[in-house]
Amino acid sequence: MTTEQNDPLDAYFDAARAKAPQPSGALQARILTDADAVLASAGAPAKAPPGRLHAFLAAVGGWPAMAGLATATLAGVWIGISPPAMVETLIETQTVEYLPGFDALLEEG
Amino acid sequence: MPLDAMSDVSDTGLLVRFANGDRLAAVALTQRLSPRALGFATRMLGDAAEAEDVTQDAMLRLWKIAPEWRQGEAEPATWLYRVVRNLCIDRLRKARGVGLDQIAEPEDGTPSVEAALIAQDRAAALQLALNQLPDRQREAVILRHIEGLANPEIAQIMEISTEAVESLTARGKRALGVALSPKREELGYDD
Repeated sequence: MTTEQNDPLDAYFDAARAKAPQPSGALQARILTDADAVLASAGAPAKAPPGRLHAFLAAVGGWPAMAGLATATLAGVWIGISPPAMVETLIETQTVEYLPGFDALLEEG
Repeated sequence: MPLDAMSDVSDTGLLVRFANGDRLAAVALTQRLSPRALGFATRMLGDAAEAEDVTQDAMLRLWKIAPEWRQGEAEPATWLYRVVRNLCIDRLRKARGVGLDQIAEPEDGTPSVEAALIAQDRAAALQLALNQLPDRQREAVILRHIEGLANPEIAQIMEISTEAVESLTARGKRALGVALSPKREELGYDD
Protein backbone atom coordinates (compact mmCIF):
# COMPACT_ATOMS: atom_id res chain seq x y z
CA MET A 1 0.00 0.00 0.00
CA THR A 2 1.54 3.31 -1.06
CA THR A 3 1.38 6.67 0.63
CA GLU A 4 -0.56 7.99 -2.31
CA GLN A 5 -3.25 5.43 -1.66
CA ASN A 6 -3.35 6.46 2.01
CA ASP A 7 -3.77 10.13 1.18
CA PRO A 8 -3.77 11.08 -2.48
CA LEU A 9 -2.84 14.66 -1.53
CA ASP A 10 0.47 13.67 0.04
CA ALA A 11 2.13 13.41 -3.37
CA TYR A 12 1.06 16.97 -4.13
CA PHE A 13 2.37 18.25 -0.81
CA ASP A 14 5.65 16.41 -1.39
CA ALA A 15 5.95 18.00 -4.81
CA ALA A 16 5.27 21.45 -3.35
CA ARG A 17 7.92 20.97 -0.67
CA ALA A 18 10.42 19.76 -3.25
CA LYS A 19 9.78 22.92 -5.25
CA ALA A 20 9.94 25.29 -2.31
CA PRO A 21 11.07 28.75 -3.43
CA GLN A 22 14.48 29.83 -2.14
CA PRO A 23 15.37 33.47 -1.48
CA SER A 24 17.54 34.82 -4.28
CA GLY A 25 20.85 36.51 -3.51
CA ALA A 26 19.23 39.83 -4.40
CA LEU A 27 16.43 39.32 -1.88
CA GLN A 28 18.87 38.34 0.85
CA ALA A 29 20.93 41.43 0.06
CA ARG A 30 17.81 43.61 0.37
CA ILE A 31 16.97 42.02 3.71
CA LEU A 32 20.50 42.55 5.04
CA THR A 33 20.59 46.13 3.81
CA ASP A 34 17.50 46.72 5.94
CA ALA A 35 19.20 45.01 8.88
CA ASP A 36 22.27 47.26 8.46
CA ALA A 37 20.07 50.34 8.39
CA VAL A 38 18.30 49.29 11.59
CA LEU A 39 21.66 48.58 13.26
CA ALA A 40 23.05 51.93 12.11
CA SER A 41 20.07 53.85 13.45
CA ALA A 42 20.21 51.95 16.75
CA GLY A 43 23.97 52.49 17.10
CA ALA A 44 23.99 56.22 16.31
CA PRO A 45 25.02 58.18 19.42
CA ALA A 46 22.02 59.76 21.00
CA LYS A 47 22.12 63.55 21.06
CA ALA A 48 22.60 64.63 24.69
CA PRO A 49 20.05 67.10 25.96
CA PRO A 50 21.58 70.55 26.65
CA GLY A 51 22.74 70.80 30.27
CA ARG A 52 23.05 73.82 32.57
CA LEU A 53 26.57 74.59 31.36
CA HIS A 54 25.33 74.67 27.74
CA ALA A 55 22.46 76.93 28.74
CA PHE A 56 24.80 79.29 30.64
CA LEU A 57 27.29 79.37 27.77
CA ALA A 58 24.53 80.14 25.32
CA ALA A 59 23.36 83.00 27.56
CA VAL A 60 26.79 84.63 27.91
CA GLY A 61 27.83 84.21 24.28
CA GLY A 62 29.67 80.90 24.10
CA TRP A 63 33.27 79.91 24.89
CA PRO A 64 34.90 83.21 23.68
CA ALA A 65 32.79 85.11 26.19
CA MET A 66 33.78 82.59 28.86
CA ALA A 67 37.47 83.31 28.17
CA GLY A 68 36.94 87.04 28.74
CA LEU A 69 34.93 86.38 31.86
CA ALA A 70 37.63 84.10 33.28
CA THR A 71 40.36 86.69 32.59
CA ALA A 72 38.37 89.43 34.31
CA THR A 73 37.70 87.21 37.32
CA LEU A 74 41.37 86.28 37.71
CA ALA A 75 42.42 89.90 37.39
CA GLY A 76 39.94 90.90 40.08
CA VAL A 77 41.21 88.23 42.44
CA TRP A 78 44.82 89.21 41.79
CA ILE A 79 44.15 92.92 42.44
CA GLY A 80 42.38 92.00 45.66
CA ILE A 81 45.26 89.91 46.96
CA SER A 82 48.13 92.10 45.83
CA PRO A 83 46.89 95.53 44.84
CA PRO A 84 49.27 97.50 42.61
CA ALA A 85 50.69 100.76 44.02
CA MET A 86 48.50 102.92 41.83
CA VAL A 87 45.36 101.30 43.21
CA GLU A 88 46.52 101.86 46.80
CA THR A 89 47.19 105.55 46.06
CA LEU A 90 43.71 105.92 44.62
CA ILE A 91 42.16 104.35 47.69
CA GLU A 92 44.09 106.64 50.02
CA THR A 93 43.57 109.94 48.22
CA GLN A 94 40.00 109.60 47.07
CA THR A 95 37.65 110.07 49.98
CA VAL A 96 34.02 110.71 49.46
CA GLU A 97 32.02 112.92 51.82
CA TYR A 98 28.43 111.78 51.76
CA LEU A 99 27.30 114.38 54.40
CA PRO A 100 29.72 117.30 54.05
CA GLY A 101 28.41 119.30 57.06
CA PHE A 102 28.00 116.41 59.42
CA ASP A 103 31.23 116.86 61.34
CA ALA A 104 30.47 120.53 62.00
CA LEU A 105 27.06 119.67 63.38
CA LEU A 106 28.65 117.26 65.83
CA GLU A 107 31.12 119.89 67.02
CA GLU A 108 28.39 122.47 67.62
CA GLY A 109 26.14 120.01 69.55
CA MET B 1 31.51 34.52 16.72
CA PRO B 2 31.91 33.15 13.16
CA LEU B 3 28.80 32.41 11.10
CA ASP B 4 29.32 28.63 11.25
CA ALA B 5 29.35 28.67 15.03
CA MET B 6 25.94 30.31 15.07
CA SER B 7 24.22 27.12 13.92
CA ASP B 8 23.96 26.09 17.58
CA VAL B 9 22.39 29.37 18.66
CA SER B 10 18.60 29.50 18.89
CA ASP B 11 16.58 31.94 16.80
CA THR B 12 15.86 33.94 19.94
CA GLY B 13 19.56 33.97 20.83
CA LEU B 14 20.41 35.26 17.36
CA LEU B 15 17.79 37.97 17.65
CA VAL B 16 19.26 39.12 20.96
CA ARG B 17 22.73 39.17 19.41
CA PHE B 18 21.41 41.23 16.52
CA ALA B 19 19.82 43.69 18.94
CA ASN B 20 23.27 44.05 20.52
CA GLY B 21 24.76 45.02 17.17
CA ASP B 22 25.95 41.64 15.83
CA ARG B 23 25.54 41.80 12.06
CA LEU B 24 26.46 38.13 11.56
CA ALA B 25 23.42 37.22 13.61
CA ALA B 26 21.33 39.01 10.98
CA VAL B 27 23.00 36.95 8.26
CA ALA B 28 22.28 33.72 10.15
CA LEU B 29 18.67 34.70 10.81
CA THR B 30 18.17 35.64 7.17
CA GLN B 31 19.49 32.27 6.04
CA ARG B 32 17.34 30.49 8.58
CA LEU B 33 14.04 32.33 8.46
CA SER B 34 13.69 34.02 5.08
CA PRO B 35 13.17 30.74 3.15
CA ARG B 36 10.27 29.89 5.46
CA ALA B 37 8.73 33.33 5.14
CA LEU B 38 9.18 33.28 1.37
CA GLY B 39 7.72 29.77 1.04
CA PHE B 40 4.64 30.64 3.05
CA ALA B 41 4.12 33.97 1.26
CA THR B 42 4.54 32.36 -2.17
CA ARG B 43 1.92 29.71 -1.40
CA MET B 44 -0.43 32.29 0.04
CA LEU B 45 -0.13 34.83 -2.76
CA GLY B 46 0.76 32.67 -5.76
CA ASP B 47 3.04 35.48 -6.92
CA ALA B 48 6.81 35.31 -6.55
CA ALA B 49 7.51 39.06 -6.72
CA GLU B 50 4.84 39.93 -4.19
CA ALA B 51 6.03 37.13 -1.94
CA GLU B 52 9.55 38.59 -2.02
CA ASP B 53 8.23 42.02 -1.02
CA VAL B 54 6.26 40.49 1.84
CA THR B 55 9.32 38.54 3.00
CA GLN B 56 11.50 41.65 3.01
CA ASP B 57 8.83 43.64 4.85
CA ALA B 58 8.36 40.91 7.46
CA MET B 59 12.11 40.59 8.05
CA LEU B 60 12.41 44.37 8.41
CA ARG B 61 9.75 44.23 11.12
CA LEU B 62 11.75 41.50 12.82
CA TRP B 63 14.89 43.69 12.80
CA LYS B 64 12.96 46.59 14.24
CA ILE B 65 11.35 44.64 17.05
CA ALA B 66 14.61 42.91 18.05
CA PRO B 67 15.56 45.38 20.85
CA GLU B 68 12.15 44.92 22.46
CA TRP B 69 12.06 41.14 22.06
CA ARG B 70 11.00 39.46 25.27
CA GLN B 71 12.33 35.95 25.68
CA GLY B 72 9.76 33.25 26.33
CA GLU B 73 6.88 34.99 24.61
CA ALA B 74 6.97 33.44 21.17
CA GLU B 75 9.48 31.89 18.84
CA PRO B 76 10.80 34.34 16.25
CA ALA B 77 9.74 31.92 13.49
CA THR B 78 6.17 31.79 14.82
CA TRP B 79 6.10 35.57 15.12
CA LEU B 80 7.44 35.90 11.57
CA TYR B 81 4.83 33.51 10.14
CA ARG B 82 2.14 35.61 11.82
CA VAL B 83 3.50 38.81 10.31
CA VAL B 84 3.76 37.19 6.86
CA ARG B 85 0.20 35.95 7.20
CA ASN B 86 -1.13 39.40 8.06
CA LEU B 87 0.80 41.04 5.23
CA CYS B 88 -0.48 38.44 2.76
CA ILE B 89 -4.07 38.86 3.91
CA ASP B 90 -3.76 42.63 3.44
CA ARG B 91 -2.52 42.15 -0.10
CA LEU B 92 -5.14 39.52 -0.93
CA ARG B 93 -7.90 41.79 0.29
CA LYS B 94 -6.62 44.62 -1.86
CA ALA B 95 -6.30 42.42 -4.92
CA ARG B 96 -9.44 40.38 -4.32
CA GLY B 97 -10.83 38.90 -7.48
CA VAL B 98 -7.69 39.37 -9.57
CA GLY B 99 -5.32 36.54 -8.68
CA LEU B 100 -6.79 33.38 -10.14
CA ASP B 101 -6.85 34.37 -13.79
CA GLN B 102 -3.29 35.62 -13.65
CA ILE B 103 -1.76 32.37 -12.54
CA ALA B 104 -0.41 30.35 -15.42
CA GLU B 105 -1.94 26.98 -16.03
CA PRO B 106 0.46 24.05 -15.96
CA GLU B 107 2.01 23.62 -19.37
CA ASP B 108 0.28 21.19 -21.67
CA GLY B 109 2.41 18.20 -22.39
CA THR B 110 2.56 14.53 -22.13
CA PRO B 111 1.65 13.42 -18.65
CA SER B 112 3.80 10.33 -18.89
CA VAL B 113 7.11 12.12 -18.31
CA GLU B 114 9.99 11.84 -15.92
CA ALA B 115 9.37 12.07 -12.23
CA ALA B 116 10.80 15.55 -11.83
CA LEU B 117 8.51 17.01 -14.47
CA ILE B 118 5.55 15.24 -12.98
CA ALA B 119 6.49 16.67 -9.60
CA GLN B 120 6.53 20.13 -11.14
CA ASP B 121 3.06 19.61 -12.57
CA ARG B 122 1.79 18.40 -9.23
CA ALA B 123 3.20 21.45 -7.48
CA ALA B 124 1.61 23.79 -10.00
CA ALA B 125 -1.72 21.96 -9.83
CA LEU B 126 -1.66 22.15 -6.06
CA GLN B 127 -0.96 25.89 -6.17
CA LEU B 128 -3.94 26.41 -8.48
CA ALA B 129 -6.14 24.42 -6.13
CA LEU B 130 -4.80 26.28 -3.09
CA ASN B 131 -5.64 29.59 -4.73
CA GLN B 132 -9.27 28.54 -4.86
CA LEU B 133 -9.53 27.84 -1.13
CA PRO B 134 -10.88 30.38 1.34
CA ASP B 135 -7.98 32.28 2.94
CA ARG B 136 -8.12 30.61 6.34
CA GLN B 137 -8.31 27.09 4.92
CA ARG B 138 -5.41 27.89 2.61
CA GLU B 139 -3.30 29.24 5.50
CA ALA B 140 -3.99 26.21 7.65
CA VAL B 141 -3.26 23.69 4.89
CA ILE B 142 -0.03 25.42 3.82
CA LEU B 143 1.29 25.71 7.37
CA ARG B 144 0.35 22.15 8.26
CA HIS B 145 1.12 20.17 5.15
CA ILE B 146 3.75 22.19 3.28
CA GLU B 147 5.55 24.11 6.02
CA GLY B 148 5.17 21.10 8.31
CA LEU B 149 4.18 22.97 11.48
CA ALA B 150 2.34 21.39 14.38
CA ASN B 151 -1.27 22.36 15.01
CA PRO B 152 -0.58 24.26 18.28
CA GLU B 153 1.97 26.48 16.50
CA ILE B 154 -0.47 27.08 13.64
CA ALA B 155 -3.08 27.99 16.24
CA GLN B 156 -0.67 30.61 17.64
CA ILE B 157 0.04 32.01 14.20
CA MET B 158 -3.62 32.20 13.19
CA GLU B 159 -4.72 33.20 16.70
CA ILE B 160 -7.39 30.51 16.85
CA SER B 161 -7.85 27.26 18.79
CA THR B 162 -6.12 24.02 17.88
CA GLU B 163 -9.54 22.48 17.18
CA ALA B 164 -10.29 25.27 14.73
CA VAL B 165 -6.99 24.54 12.97
CA GLU B 166 -7.91 20.86 12.67
CA SER B 167 -11.29 21.77 11.26
CA LEU B 168 -9.81 24.21 8.73
CA THR B 169 -7.17 21.76 7.51
CA ALA B 170 -9.75 18.98 7.18
CA ARG B 171 -12.13 21.16 5.16
CA GLY B 172 -9.23 22.53 3.12
CA LYS B 173 -7.99 19.08 2.25
CA ARG B 174 -11.44 17.91 1.22
CA ALA B 175 -11.76 20.90 -1.10
CA LEU B 176 -8.28 20.27 -2.50
CA GLY B 177 -9.16 16.65 -3.15
CA VAL B 178 -12.18 17.70 -5.16
CA ALA B 179 -10.27 20.41 -7.05
CA LEU B 180 -7.40 18.10 -7.93
CA SER B 181 -9.36 15.02 -8.90
CA PRO B 182 -9.82 15.97 -12.61
CA LYS B 183 -6.15 16.97 -12.81
CA ARG B 184 -5.11 13.64 -11.34
CA GLU B 185 -6.72 11.99 -14.35
CA GLU B 186 -5.06 14.43 -16.76
CA LEU B 187 -1.65 13.77 -15.27
CA GLY B 188 -2.09 10.03 -15.38
CA TYR B 189 -1.78 9.40 -11.65
CA ASP B 190 -4.84 7.17 -11.56
CA ASP B 191 -3.58 4.73 -14.16
